[in-house]
Amino acid sequence: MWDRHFTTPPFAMVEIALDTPLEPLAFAEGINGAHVLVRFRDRPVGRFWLSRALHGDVVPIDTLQTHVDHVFDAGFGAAFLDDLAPARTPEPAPAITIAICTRDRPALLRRCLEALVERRDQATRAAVDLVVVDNAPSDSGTRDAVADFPSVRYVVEPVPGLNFGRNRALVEAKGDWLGFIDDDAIPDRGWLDALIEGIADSPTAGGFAGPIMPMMLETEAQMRFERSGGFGKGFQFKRFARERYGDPFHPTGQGNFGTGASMVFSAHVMREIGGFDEALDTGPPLPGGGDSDSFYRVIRAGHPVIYLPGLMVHHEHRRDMPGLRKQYYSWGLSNGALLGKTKARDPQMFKLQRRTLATYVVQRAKRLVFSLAGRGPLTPRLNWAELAGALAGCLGEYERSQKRVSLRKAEKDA
Amino acid sequence: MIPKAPWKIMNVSLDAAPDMIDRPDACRAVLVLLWFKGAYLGRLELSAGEFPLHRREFLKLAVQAVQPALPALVSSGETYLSAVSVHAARTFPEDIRSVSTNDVSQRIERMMDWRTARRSNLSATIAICTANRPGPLRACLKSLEAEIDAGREILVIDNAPSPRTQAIVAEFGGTRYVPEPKRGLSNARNTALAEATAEIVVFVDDDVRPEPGWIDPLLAAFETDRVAVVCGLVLPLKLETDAQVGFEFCFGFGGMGVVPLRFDREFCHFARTAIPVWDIGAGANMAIRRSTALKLGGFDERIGPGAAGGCGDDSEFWYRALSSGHEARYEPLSVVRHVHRADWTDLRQQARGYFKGHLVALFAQFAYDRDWRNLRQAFFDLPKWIIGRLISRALWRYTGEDMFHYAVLSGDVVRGYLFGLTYLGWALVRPPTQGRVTQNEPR
Repeated sequence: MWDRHFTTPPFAMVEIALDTPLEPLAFAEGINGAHVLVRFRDRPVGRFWLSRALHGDVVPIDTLQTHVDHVFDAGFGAAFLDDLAPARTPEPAPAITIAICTRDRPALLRRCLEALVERRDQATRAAVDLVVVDNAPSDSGTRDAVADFPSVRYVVEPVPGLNFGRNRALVEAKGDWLGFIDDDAIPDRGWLDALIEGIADSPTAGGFAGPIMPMMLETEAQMRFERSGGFGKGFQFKRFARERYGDPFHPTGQGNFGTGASMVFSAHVMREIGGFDEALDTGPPLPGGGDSDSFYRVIRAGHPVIYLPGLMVHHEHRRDMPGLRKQYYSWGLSNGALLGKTKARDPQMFKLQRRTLATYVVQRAKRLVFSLAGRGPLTPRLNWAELAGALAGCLGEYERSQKRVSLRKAEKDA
Repeated sequence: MIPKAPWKIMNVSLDAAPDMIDRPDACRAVLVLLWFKGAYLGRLELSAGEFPLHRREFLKLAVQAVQPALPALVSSGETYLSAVSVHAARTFPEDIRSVSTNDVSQRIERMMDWRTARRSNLSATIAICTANRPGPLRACLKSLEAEIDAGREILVIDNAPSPRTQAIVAEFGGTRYVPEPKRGLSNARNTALAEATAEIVVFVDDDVRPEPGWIDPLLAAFETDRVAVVCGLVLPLKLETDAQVGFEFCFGFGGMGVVPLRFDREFCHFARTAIPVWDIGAGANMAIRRSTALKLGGFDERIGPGAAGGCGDDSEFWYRALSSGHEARYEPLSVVRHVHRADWTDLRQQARGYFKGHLVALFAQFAYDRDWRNLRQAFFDLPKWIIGRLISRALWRYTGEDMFHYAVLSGDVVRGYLFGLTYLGWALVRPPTQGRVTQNEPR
């Protein structure tokens, strides 16, 4: 029952600032609820959900206040932190390359580039260089789109596969820091500032990640995905070093570190550990997990990965249910495949990785059982897709993927 | 996963955090105690592998660790927040909400200035109850030197009279040695109440080291005549053995907050289970109004270390004080450091004693005012909690909730609980010792 109020699209995207007085929120015609992002001093500190069915056509201030109070201490803490140690600018200004790996989606790319170019042009504290990596294009759409932005570099990576694209970006990167933003996302207005401050605060970091918020919630697939957690990993500052207090699965909880839609690496560290694993993130139905795996390897190499709440992007989630099912399958597949990868490359962590996977499978199986009883935001089919993916993934998927990828490379070379 | 010993304890003042926080030598994890302008703000646990940390990285983690308590702390202002409001929904006064226009650190600072400047004109006697622990006693007395020099009355109640203890007390001029041969911490505390001459008796365990000036906030918290009990903050002094780490995370004082709290009539009524008197604090750092204690008959001599159970004597007294209309305060500005037992056998004994003592105290409390919530706690909530722990012990590999110390100690917890059940008869009879310490003149 409860979930139904929050899975019927469309939902409005609303923003509330802790530092301005609240106003009653009226839903427009045909809107079933709202996803509310809470900011303090323009930085994201939390979010909550409102449903028209539960809260009425106009949400009064009192109701909003109760919700806001739940994330209130984050704003209070942010204010305290600003008092204790105001944010600094790194000296010298960091050189940042931001890469967008894309394939045949010129409309989405254009939207992303518009936002990025705007942020870049406002940035005074860093030298930012933008690159579009066109991955095995089938037409000239991407090239034409990039041509409209004279300050954006365009490179082609002929071998299909996201991590081939990322490795190409690593070759092309001029800066010390290499950021990635998905073509179906746009960076938040504070993205670059958050990154610059993050670099100043954590000069020894090997990578940064940030929250992925929905850009719009217009379809059932988008609602279900976001309600089940989506890509969101919260608004807490997190630091993943070699060890992590209170986390028995660290560092094998690969899924916790961040998401590829908003991530930044130290180019130097990335080159040192040999770039991105080309057998991962080769595009569905092959396993994803290239982002989680690179964070993992950065951490294992002794460089902390920092999760910055300010490094937020707004992502356009899959609109259709079959697409969402594929995505869940691919998630399961990559989580399973990481087991094979750890066994081959990092045997020391194999036992822990197995425990992580076992916990994950048990948790998803539980979710499947609940969804059969009609509970939770996901349908049984979606839950099953992820579970099936995980099972298929741990049965030699990594090795299969490696084989496929080497074939692909050989094909291109020939 | 709670890392095993050794741990290091670090004290960091947020307003003067160093540029780089390096990994302390030879430890698996670090407990960082966070301070701001002399006030305790909270704690942060870090694994050794998380170091080194840059200043702002550390501050971000630290502020995140303390921020849940910050709004309540600032809104407590110049009062003591009702303990019930801490349990209730999170609501904040209007002026706290307009945080953007207010300088948070300045507000905390102003509040702390006001709190630390308070002085009470109540007279106080410091009472240390000890039994056969000459080493810790000497260290404890050493940390009290400033009070000795100031001419404060200091009693050492020797609950296992020995010339050795007497000799140590004699080393410190200005302290008075009082032997109490009848075993039991409650006996010793009652003796202290009878022997003391001041209005307030400040109890200090022999295994704590009070910080200089810890006594002033305690006394200042006796704002009105209704306040009968004030407890302060107890922090660990060291975590060098597994037993000490186990104590800290299973039975320790880690839950003690940073917000000054008021426990009153409202507090007696809000809970569905027994009044959570253990929230008030710990007997290791408490002050008691002597006249009220005498009126209430002092501590129940059947309960507590040396008698039945390893705890419960103090909380049972708080219970009687609260339910007879008195109030209690928790004052985090008063800080003592506690030396946890270093030995695993001692910790196991403590685990048994704690659960036995808790149960015995619940029975005695039921006999006192026939409040059925005590029995509900004893026969429903407590077993439920224990069973929950046993289940997570069995499942911790899959849930990730690794309470390795609890896992090891759960047998002792169950045994302590079963021992406690044998005292069920106490729920039926009125305590015989009521009114034992009523005479005002020293014996």
